Amino acid sequence: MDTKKRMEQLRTMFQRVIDPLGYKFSPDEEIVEFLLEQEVMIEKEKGSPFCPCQGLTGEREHDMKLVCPCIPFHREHYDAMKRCWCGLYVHKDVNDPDELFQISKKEFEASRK
Amino acid sequence: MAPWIFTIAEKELNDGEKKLVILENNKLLLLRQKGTFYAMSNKSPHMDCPLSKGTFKEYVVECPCHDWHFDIRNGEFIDAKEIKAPIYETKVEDGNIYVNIE
Amino acid sequence: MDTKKIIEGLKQAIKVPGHNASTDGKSGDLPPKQGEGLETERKEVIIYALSTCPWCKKAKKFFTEKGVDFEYIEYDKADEETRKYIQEDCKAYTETLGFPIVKIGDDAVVGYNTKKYSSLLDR
Ligand code: FES
Repeated sequence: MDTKKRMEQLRTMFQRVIDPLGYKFSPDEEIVEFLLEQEVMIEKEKGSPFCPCQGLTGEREHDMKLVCPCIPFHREHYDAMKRCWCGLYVHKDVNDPDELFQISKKEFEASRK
Repeated sequence: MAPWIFTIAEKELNDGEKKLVILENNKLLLLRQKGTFYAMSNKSPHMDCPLSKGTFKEYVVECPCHDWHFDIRNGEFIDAKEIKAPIYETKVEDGNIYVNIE
Repeated sequence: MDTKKIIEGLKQAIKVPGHNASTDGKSGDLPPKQGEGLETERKEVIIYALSTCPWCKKAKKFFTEKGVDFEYIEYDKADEETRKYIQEDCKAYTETLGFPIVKIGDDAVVGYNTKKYSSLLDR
């Protein structure tokens, strides 16, 4: 299937998933386009649209938690950043995604203590 | 009046089993657990994979594509309950299973 | 790029206590380049990345523009052995494999954060 078409399909399916979770696609359309295209390539190669910004290990249990949108499996961490790791999704109230930073899971855990 | 639609006979579905039924272009998954019948959309709310090809234990069906788990009683995705597979009411009459597809 | 060689170098660098450059010419601190003689000590910079991750490319750009030498290793394109090595190497800094992971000297920054990169480079 043609890449652009598949990108649009992913966008439609993922919108349905992220909406009830309080997220939207980033207003940074350039990043969104880039990431969706990567996901289509990853899906062609590996069978699933895995997160383009996180590493797979080959263990199904680990890797399946990184199929996009992976928000449900990293909810508290992402909520704290108001974005997913890649920045494909942001909280609905975010207008300027450039103000958001990646915080490692470790720093996030430490900040909660 | 609710549109109750006949699906299959009660005896065609054993306890702990599931079956795909097609009703007016609508694919439904019928499940039977501890004597009760459940019906839900056959499409995973994630990427539309057919839940009928997944596994089913207790009250949880696992999607074959990315292992998302859904509670057959309310359609909820176990890891984020805000995400739901549509579910439908069922009833048994004269040994036949009916589903309310609204 | 010969990833294998780099990884071998990295492994040795990590095994050597105190990370002393004089024990092994292959690893550790390279002699300062001409014109950089005033710098007290240059920290080794390694960027672990994914070929599909935009923040990794931004990190690469940042260090390139700063004129800092660095190794750039793509986890997803690496062989099994290298991937295992990177997983082990990153365990101390992160529980997840969220890229980029930028090692600067003995410290590391997980994620794209130019402020943190700068402060570690200048420290
Ligand atoms: S399509 Fe069912 S879990 Fe992804």
